[in-house]
Amino acid sequence: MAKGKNAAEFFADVIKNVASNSLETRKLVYIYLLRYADFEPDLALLSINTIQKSLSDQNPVIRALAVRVISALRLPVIAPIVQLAIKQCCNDLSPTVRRATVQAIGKCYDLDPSTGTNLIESLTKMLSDRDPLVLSSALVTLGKYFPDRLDLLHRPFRNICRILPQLDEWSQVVVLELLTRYSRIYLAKPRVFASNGRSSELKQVEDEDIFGASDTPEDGQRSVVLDPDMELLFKSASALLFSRNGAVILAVAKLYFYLGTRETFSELEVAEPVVRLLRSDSSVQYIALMNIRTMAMTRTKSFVPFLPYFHVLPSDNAVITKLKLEILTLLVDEKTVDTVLSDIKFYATTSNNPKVVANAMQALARCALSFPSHSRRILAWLFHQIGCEKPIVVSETLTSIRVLIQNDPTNHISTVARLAACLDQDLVANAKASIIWLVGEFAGLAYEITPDVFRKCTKTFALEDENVRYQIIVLAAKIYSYHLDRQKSTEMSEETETDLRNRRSNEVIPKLFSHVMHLARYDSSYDIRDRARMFSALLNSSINNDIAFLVLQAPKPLPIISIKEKLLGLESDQKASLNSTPIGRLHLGSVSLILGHSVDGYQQLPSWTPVDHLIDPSIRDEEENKEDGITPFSNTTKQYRQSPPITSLSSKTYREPESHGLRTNGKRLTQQTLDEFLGDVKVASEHGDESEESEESEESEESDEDESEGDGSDESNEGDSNEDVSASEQDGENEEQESDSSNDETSRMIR
Amino acid sequence: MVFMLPCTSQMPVMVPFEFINRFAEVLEKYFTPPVVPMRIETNLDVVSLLLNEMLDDGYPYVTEPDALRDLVPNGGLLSKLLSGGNKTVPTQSTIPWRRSNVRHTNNELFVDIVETLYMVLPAKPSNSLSGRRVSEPIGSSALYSHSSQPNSAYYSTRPLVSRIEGTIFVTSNLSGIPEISLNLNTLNNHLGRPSFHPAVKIDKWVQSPGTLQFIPPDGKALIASYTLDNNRVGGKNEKNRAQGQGLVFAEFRTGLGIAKDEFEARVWTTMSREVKHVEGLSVNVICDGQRTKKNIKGLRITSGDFHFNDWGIGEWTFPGKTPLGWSASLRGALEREEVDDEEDESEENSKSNGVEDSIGDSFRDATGSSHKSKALDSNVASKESGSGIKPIFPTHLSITYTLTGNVPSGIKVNSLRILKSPGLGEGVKPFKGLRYTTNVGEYIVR
Repeated sequence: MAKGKNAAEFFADVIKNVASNSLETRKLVYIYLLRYADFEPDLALLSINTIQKSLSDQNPVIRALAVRVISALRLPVIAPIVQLAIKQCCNDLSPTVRRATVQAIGKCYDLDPSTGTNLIESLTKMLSDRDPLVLSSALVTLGKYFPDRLDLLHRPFRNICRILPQLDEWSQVVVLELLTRYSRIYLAKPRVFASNGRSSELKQVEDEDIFGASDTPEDGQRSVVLDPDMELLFKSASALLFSRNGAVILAVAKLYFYLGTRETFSELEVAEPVVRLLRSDSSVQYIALMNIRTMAMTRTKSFVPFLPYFHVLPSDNAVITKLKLEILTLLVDEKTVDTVLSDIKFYATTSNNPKVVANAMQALARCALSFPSHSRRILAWLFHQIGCEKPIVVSETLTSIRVLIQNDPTNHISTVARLAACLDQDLVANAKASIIWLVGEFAGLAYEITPDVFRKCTKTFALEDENVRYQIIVLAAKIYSYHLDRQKSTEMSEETETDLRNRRSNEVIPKLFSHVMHLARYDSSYDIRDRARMFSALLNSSINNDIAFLVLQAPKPLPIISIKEKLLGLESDQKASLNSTPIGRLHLGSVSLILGHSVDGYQQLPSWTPVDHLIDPSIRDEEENKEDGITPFSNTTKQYRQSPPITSLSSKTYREPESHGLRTNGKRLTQQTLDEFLGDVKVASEHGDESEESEESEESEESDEDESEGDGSDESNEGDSNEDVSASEQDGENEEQESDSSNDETSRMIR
Repeated sequence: MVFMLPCTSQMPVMVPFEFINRFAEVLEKYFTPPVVPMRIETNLDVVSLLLNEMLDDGYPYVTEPDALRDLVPNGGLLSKLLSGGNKTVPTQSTIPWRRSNVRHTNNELFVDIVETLYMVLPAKPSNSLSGRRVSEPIGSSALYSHSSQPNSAYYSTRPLVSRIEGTIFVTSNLSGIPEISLNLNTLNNHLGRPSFHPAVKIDKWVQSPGTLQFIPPDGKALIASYTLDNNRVGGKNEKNRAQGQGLVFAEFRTGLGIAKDEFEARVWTTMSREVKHVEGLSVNVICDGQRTKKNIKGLRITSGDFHFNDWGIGEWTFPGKTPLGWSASLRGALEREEVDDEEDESEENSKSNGVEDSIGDSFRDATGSSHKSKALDSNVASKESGSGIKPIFPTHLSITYTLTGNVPSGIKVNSLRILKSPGLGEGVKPFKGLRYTTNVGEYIVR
């Protein structure tokens, strides 16, 4: 049977032995019975009688076995019998039997949910059992089958807290989870008082959201006032940090993370056991790192001492390396930044796993952004890497440089120039294409360099790869559009300021443009031919010019680089459209966190109950005479359970790209200052409230395209966006602002 | 072995993984390791019985190996049944992790302390501008040296990662229900929060760190595991850093010789009173990890065998036992596969000059020349240092060895006492043994 062969034909013969005197025989028969009862329910019923008899056997082992078997027989007919058995064995003297009975409660409920009320009665009895193992099983059953009946925990709460370290380690996991939820609903939230140093009076710090916590200043005395029951829970749970079971440790960490404040978290050194999980095999490491990443975002201080644990070892695989690098950049501070940087550089240059290189480069960019003092050095280093031999290093380097530049365009004009100089080296096609693209983005800002780059690219146009050629065309179109722009403005302002050189280049640009377009028209790739035709049509007729400006001069969304933002979903990335909870907010230790989206049965933690709604703590007193403190409150439980999951507004608000410098849009915006522009955007977004949802979904599409450097898929969008734009352009004068913002959207989409 | 874990509902994610680990542990107890597929196939009945007990209602039920041993006899039920079967009914013991009625003719108690070393030594700053790794811009970092140099010098002297992962195994072959007290001399090391077997009394440890008191499970069991971080930022172990690096040291230098294309690896061992020799010492010279054949020209080694394996990793092994107070070195230059590199270099050179001319004018006007000139400087610097050809070097060394008799942290067992031993019998003096073993997890010298 164990080998997977079907042994159903012997059913009757085997069942006959159910009354055998030998325990071993009986056990084997039971196993057989459980396996094949579904095939012959009628025959299986015959054995019930014997099993029932053995419920009152002398030997507790046999009794326990009988309870187990009778409840595990998946025959709906016998539900009442099982119930009877449960009732009978609830009061058994042997803890083994009681434990098996508790297990049976769950199975019986599964078999016939209508028996629920009776079963809960027995379960309540078991929850106040003195034997830790019985209690363990009772709590597991509660957590699995009646997760909403947290009110059952009122009376045993303190006992459970005290006995917690003695429970079975598997059930500890469930219990900790239950208690976390229980405390969120029924216990007062720890109040944090902070004194500002000057005034001695304590001021209660306002509600700190788990994820907003890092914003509050860390200095100054803070004292925490805990509910006495919470204190008890914290104290007993701290013993579990010594557990050898990783699941327990994660559950404890979760408890402190969601219930405790920053102080409790660091006082009890919760971080250490969690970090210790990294000793285990790679799958456990992966889970631990995922959880650490979430915790490190707000409890950064607690994890900083463990920085060396996140250095990548050569034996780590790509996934773990990625997580470790992310955590490293989360934890790095002024003191350690040098070590970490040199370490990351080492990975970036020596690894030959492209993913590792990409992640290391990204990490470098993150470091550069968070430590402005080091960003120059990092940039210099990145530049040096462009000449590297490995193509993968080069392309990742360029991606990082692009990220850095896009985050602060105005200060990086010189960087772009240096990049442009690199074009003359022998580069990989992709690298070349992305440099050209980047230069094109600066066409409006640094019009002194870009035409020259363009000129040089034109020379070798025919020799380049397809995507390089495409980027050259785009560059041509961008430069030309800015050129037309300037021409217009100079016409208006009587060309007093335009110096000589500008004029000279102004004469050259149209020629160069038409030359490239001419070249592209006879390109071997139909894609490039099409695009060239599109651009020349757009730019050569004055009617379409406005559209062309929108298409070519639209600001690009910032690549998401900060881990915090990525995980908390402040930006609406691709995943946001699929699932509502960003990965950083999925709670610790859950399957959902690991998979990155919520799975079936995922429950957000209930939010804290406000203080004035709390139930009298006397409900947890252990006096025996307090018979019925439970029922009146079950209502409130429901109410709080159904409260929507915590979603902060900030996750919905759509973040405008800060690359305003790149945007010298059309006639109106060129004259605007940054502030004016910002104001504009705000008004526009208020105006266009109803369009916000669509905006978000569009955003997600864009970020896709942004990755691929805009070489695919924009063709398809072209048609409808044209309509959009022309429609909005017919709007009246007073609605100009709104139409502007929607124009921006469409144009960004096209990009 | 690869496990698949289909999951139907939300559950604490760590549970299945931990369970699998535990299951593997139990299997090892039942079938003497190594557990090969053959052995599992022939004993499938036992495996299914075990699973039957270990899981109930889709959740781990009884997972303690000792408790399972009561429920599922070693040979499997079937064999027992066929051989007539005894009618004794097992009773469940009150201590979940210890079997009832343990009987041994030889009463023995062993403690194994095994420590695994994890070290990553960063590269030492080189004296000349020649640069150890040419891919790193020595030139550009020298440019900004006023800010960076002192720091990096400071950091390079200490290992990047230096930690010891220790485990304490207790093998108990004692009859009855003995209670054992194990006192460790931790040498003021901060053991942090070790993880314990459920048998260990945690309150005792909290009261007096270093004292483990427990009723051991029968047979070999992992009692405690701890981590010592010699490098902990702001930790208490700052002073002890010198110790805790084991007995084997290594050094790795590049950019040597006339052509500055040679590298040298040196390994040496220090003296210790407790240890006589190091076993299985081997140094892997890891190039860029690409699976291509490599060659070393001008190879000079003082001892040991050196050859490249199929993975492009140079293995430098010292078979057998290596004495202490010994050293060896390996020197050579790595041969390049591509020859066309020189051309690239010169092309680059001419081209970069060209850029300077062509866009220089407009460029300088636009942005100011400060940045550009710096870039140029660094360019020149690296040119000079590289002297035309970029030599390639192995990226790092990785060292493995084992030794017995000492652990790097210096932790010692002060005393091992049997406090109570009901059921051991009068006048029985159990044999006690101690063993210290050091392993290497990762020892990387860059």
